[in-house]
Amino acid sequence: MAEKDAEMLEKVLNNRAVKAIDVADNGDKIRRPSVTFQRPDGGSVEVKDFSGKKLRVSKSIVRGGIQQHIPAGTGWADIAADLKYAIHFEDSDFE
Amino acid sequence: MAIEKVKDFYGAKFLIPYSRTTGLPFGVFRVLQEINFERKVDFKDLTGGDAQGAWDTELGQPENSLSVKLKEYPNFVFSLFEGNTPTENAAEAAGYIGTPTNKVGTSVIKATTGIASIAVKSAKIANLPAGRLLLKATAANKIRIYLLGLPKGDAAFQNIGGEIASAEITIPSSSGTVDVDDLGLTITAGSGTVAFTADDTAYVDVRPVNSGSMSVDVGGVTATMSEFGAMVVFPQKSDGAIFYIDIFRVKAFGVPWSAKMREWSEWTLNGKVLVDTANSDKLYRLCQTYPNA
Repeated sequence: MAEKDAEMLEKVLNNRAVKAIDVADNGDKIRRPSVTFQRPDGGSVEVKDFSGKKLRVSKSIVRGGIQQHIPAGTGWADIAADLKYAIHFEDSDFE
Repeated sequence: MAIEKVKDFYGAKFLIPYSRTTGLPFGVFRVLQEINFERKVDFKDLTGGDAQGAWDTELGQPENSLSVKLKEYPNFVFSLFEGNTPTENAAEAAGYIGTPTNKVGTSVIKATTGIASIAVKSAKIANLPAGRLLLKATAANKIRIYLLGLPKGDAAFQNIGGEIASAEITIPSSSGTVDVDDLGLTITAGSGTVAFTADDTAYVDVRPVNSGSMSVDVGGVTATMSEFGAMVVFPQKSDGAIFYIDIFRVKAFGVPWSAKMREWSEWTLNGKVLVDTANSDKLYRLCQTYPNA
C-alpha cells in the first residue's frame, strides 16, 4: 500500500473528509474518487469517501458466524470504521 | 555377415487416436500404463471315432480387441468414448457465479420478494468455493447455505449436514445487500419486502478464480461413439530403433474412473479392433525403423 493511499484510507475510516488530489497527465488537478487496495490474497478493496451521504439500502456482512447489519438511512459518519473497510459500498447504495 | 539384432518393443510412449475421416489426431495420450492388443480365436477341431487327437482343425471366428490402461482424462475422451462433447470455458480471473435458480418453490430467487442476485465479492474472492451452493429458506427473511463441492480459503463445512455459511443469514429487504465473506459472495435482496417460503430452496453454481474449466454431462440416449484409428508409438530404443503401430479401425466405449485414497485414477479403455475395408480388410500396420548403426 502506497504511503499516500494509507493516509487516505486512514482518513476515510475515521470519518475525516478526504481531499486527495492527483495531477493528471495534462497537468489538471483531479479529485481522486476512491482508493483501491490490493490484498495479499489477490482480491482488491475499494474504499470510497461517502461523507455527508446516507445509505439508501441496508448493508450487511457475515463474518465468523456473526452477521452485522447497517440499516438503510444510516449516515456514512455513523458507520463503524471496520465495516467501511469490510463491506463493499457503491454510489448506488446511497441516497 | 553379423547375426540380426533381436527385435522387440520396449515401453509405451504415446497413443494417438485419430479421425478416420480427416486423418487428424483427436489428441495424444501420454500417461499410459499399458496397451494390450489381443487376437483371440477358437480352434474348431474335427474329432470322432477312436483317435489320439483331432483329425483336423480350422480356425473359428477371430476376435480382436484393444485395451489401454491410462491415468489421464483429456477432454477428447468424453466425445470419443462417451459420445458427449465437453463444454470448455475460458479463464475466469474474477471467478464465476452462475444464474441462481429456484429448486423447490419459487420464493428464494425472485427480483421483488426474494434474492435478486448473487455476485462475487472481489475483496474476498479467495473464499469463493467450487461446486454448487444450495440456499434454503428457514424463515421469511432467513436462509442457510450449503455446499456441494470444495470449500476454498476461509470457508469450511460447519456441520456434517453440509452447511457452509457460518450463520443463518438474514436477508434485508428493499435491495439491501449481505456480504458473505467466508464464501466470497454478495447477496442482493429484491426490491420489495423479502418473503421466503420456509423450506424453499435454490442453487447457484460457482467456480473460484481459474485459468479455464470444462464440464461434460455423460450419458443420454443420443450419445453415439465414433470409430477411430489409433497410432501406438513406442519410445525410441537406446540403440535408436523406432516402432509404431497403426491400428486402422477401433470402436471403444466408456470412460470409467475411480477415486482412491492418495492414488491417481486409473481407467481402462476397452475397444474392439474391426476389419478395415478401406485397408483391404486388414487390422493394423506395424512399422519399424532400424538404427543407423
